[in-house]
Amino acid sequence: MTEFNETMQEALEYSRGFLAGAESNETLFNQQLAEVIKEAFYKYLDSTARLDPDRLHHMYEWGQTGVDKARLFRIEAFTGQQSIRFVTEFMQSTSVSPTANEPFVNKADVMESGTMVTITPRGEGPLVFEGDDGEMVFTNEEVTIDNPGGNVAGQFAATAREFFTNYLDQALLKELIKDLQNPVEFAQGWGKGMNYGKGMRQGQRYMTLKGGVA
Amino acid sequence: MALKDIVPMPPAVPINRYLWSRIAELDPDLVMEYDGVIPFYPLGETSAGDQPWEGAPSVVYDRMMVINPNPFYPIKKEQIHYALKANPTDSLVWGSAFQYILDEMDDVAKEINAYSAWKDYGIFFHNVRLFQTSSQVSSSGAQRNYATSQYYVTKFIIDTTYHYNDRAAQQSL
Repeated sequence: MTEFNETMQEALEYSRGFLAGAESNETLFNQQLAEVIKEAFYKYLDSTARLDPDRLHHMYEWGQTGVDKARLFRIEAFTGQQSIRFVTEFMQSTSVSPTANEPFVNKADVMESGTMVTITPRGEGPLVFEGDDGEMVFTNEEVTIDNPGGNVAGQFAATAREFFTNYLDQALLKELIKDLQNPVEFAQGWGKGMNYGKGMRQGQRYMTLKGGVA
Repeated sequence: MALKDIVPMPPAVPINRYLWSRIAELDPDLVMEYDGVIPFYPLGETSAGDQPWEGAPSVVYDRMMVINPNPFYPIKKEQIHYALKANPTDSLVWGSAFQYILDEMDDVAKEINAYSAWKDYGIFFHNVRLFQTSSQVSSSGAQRNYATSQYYVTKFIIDTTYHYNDRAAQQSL
């Protein structure tokens, strides 16, 4: 009877330690998860841009659609014990389009929001650009572009929404939740010599992401 | 012996070949239209936009992500991003065919392994699943509209777990 009581006491201490360990690692777990989601977001956006460049070319430097080093956006994560919040922002372009001689600095922001752009000739010379038919156009008038970049307005937001609503759940979270529902770390530590400290270590291991993306 | 005969194939190659072979079983006439070409291309065509090559459905794919799912290193997990370019009817039919053929986890993995055995790709699949990321009525969130766009891009992810084996050429070195 005493041995039974001792074993029960150890089991209770181990279980309490496990829960405390898991809880103490929640913020770290969220930080790890946020990093994985950020990396997956970049991979998803880059890959979508390579597969369907018409929709996301405005989010990269000229001629480098889908190239990681040429992104004109970034995503930041803010984590707490119970939450992860993501914020995206656009960066300024520094490259020059093949048909221009100045960088279109706010290219990503302007094209994504679909802001109408008016170009005015500078100085004495006319405005020179390639027309829709491929012919060079010379004009001293202002030129208004209704949808700079083509039909790309809102496409970054739409792809980001696609990532968070369709991709993330099916590709990453479902498996993660399945893993969390089966706490093998608890079973691994169960047995002789279990105590609060061992439970805590196992709880911390349970609340640590294994693996990552590349 | 060439490098391509020694190193294992990327998982997309046997998956594409198997997928096309199953489509050929289901509809031999469709495959004949492609004149021996498997319409799965590992590269984009920037000037094509949504329009598939030659007006027939085609797929552009990209190795999107390698995931390290567990501490047992030899088992790899990879996601391959597929963009199906097709008209509205073919988008539905082909998308449904992909799902019907590939979304079978370990059952389809066994079938791909059996189909690829004689090819010696140096890869053994544990499971394969497929899911669609863009919805049927919108492409990347833009409303699909037959009046303005006759072709759609529908995106899928093929999620697979596998490990590499030595190929025959590797063993003979």
